[in-house]
Amino acid sequence: MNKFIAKLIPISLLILFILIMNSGLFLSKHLASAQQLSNQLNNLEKNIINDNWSLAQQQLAKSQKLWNSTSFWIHFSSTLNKLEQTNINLVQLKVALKTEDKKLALSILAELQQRWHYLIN
Amino acid sequence: MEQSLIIIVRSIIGFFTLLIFTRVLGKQQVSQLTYFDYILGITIGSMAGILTTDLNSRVWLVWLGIATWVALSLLMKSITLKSRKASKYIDGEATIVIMNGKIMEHNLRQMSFRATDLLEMLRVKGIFNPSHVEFALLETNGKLSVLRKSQYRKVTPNDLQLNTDYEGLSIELIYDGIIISQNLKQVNLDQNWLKNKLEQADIYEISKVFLATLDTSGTLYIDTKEDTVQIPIEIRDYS
Repeated sequence: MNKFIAKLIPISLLILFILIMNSGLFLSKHLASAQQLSNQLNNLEKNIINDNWSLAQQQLAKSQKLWNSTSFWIHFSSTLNKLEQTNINLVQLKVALKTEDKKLALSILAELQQRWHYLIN
Repeated sequence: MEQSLIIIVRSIIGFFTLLIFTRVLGKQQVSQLTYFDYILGITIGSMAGILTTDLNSRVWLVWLGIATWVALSLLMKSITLKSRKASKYIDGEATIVIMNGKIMEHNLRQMSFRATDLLEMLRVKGIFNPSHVEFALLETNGKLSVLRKSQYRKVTPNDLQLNTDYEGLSIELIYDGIIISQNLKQVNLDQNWLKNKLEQADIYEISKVFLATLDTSGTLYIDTKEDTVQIPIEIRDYS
């Protein structure tokens, strides 16, 4: 085999692997759903502070959909426990919004925002 | 399903990364590995295992860990290749454990080596009496190199002042029914010569040959795919 090709194959493979492993970070910053999710979480916080519970619940449902479509892409740049914890937080937040528990809702949301920040950085 | 897919992709990354990195690290035989090389192999292997199956670890960070270990190992290798002093310091050096038939107990203790281990290694080499040994050295890879006393060494043609013919490597001319043309060219022969030789052995189709090699004395070894040898003993111990 040509020496150039013999060296090119492993180098290209390693570059491809690096791109796959870091694809999550790139996608989470550039996927429309990921950007919308950041905005949704901020809006959700404002609505909870202003006691707009029904609006907050609608936004949470949207956030849940956005999270479902985004989470697949960030598997490589994240860990399973972080993704599962996010799913748990979304369920907890749903309950907190239903019971209109402001303190609990805000604390869960803060955790969610912090984790989301970790996932995309 | 999602997680299965992730595991498959991570496995592909881990497998080929390990393959490429081990090729980069060199062709050292397992038996020639120093103790540190051995540990290095285990560490890199275990990191590759984590990379593949531990979904609670960030794949990129684990991969970066493996790459760093490999890079450090290459750095150490290049330092030890260039500097003899560094090589001695990092890899250690061979230790004399028997000199003129006498066991060097102090050196054995320093290497945390028992006399029984030494005797066992001598026996493996066919030496049952340490007094037959002129020098025995414990190499950095943990192997024992032994120089027997001249009166206990095997006689070689050189000792008897006999002339011997040159013996080099045999070259493969046919493998699994396919002629290896570049090897034929290398020995300045052509396919007609090969076909003639095969016909002399009553073989008229190249596809029937499993292996044909040419040694340095010009003798062609031919093994056909069909084995005609009568097996005198049943090789299998089950039926």
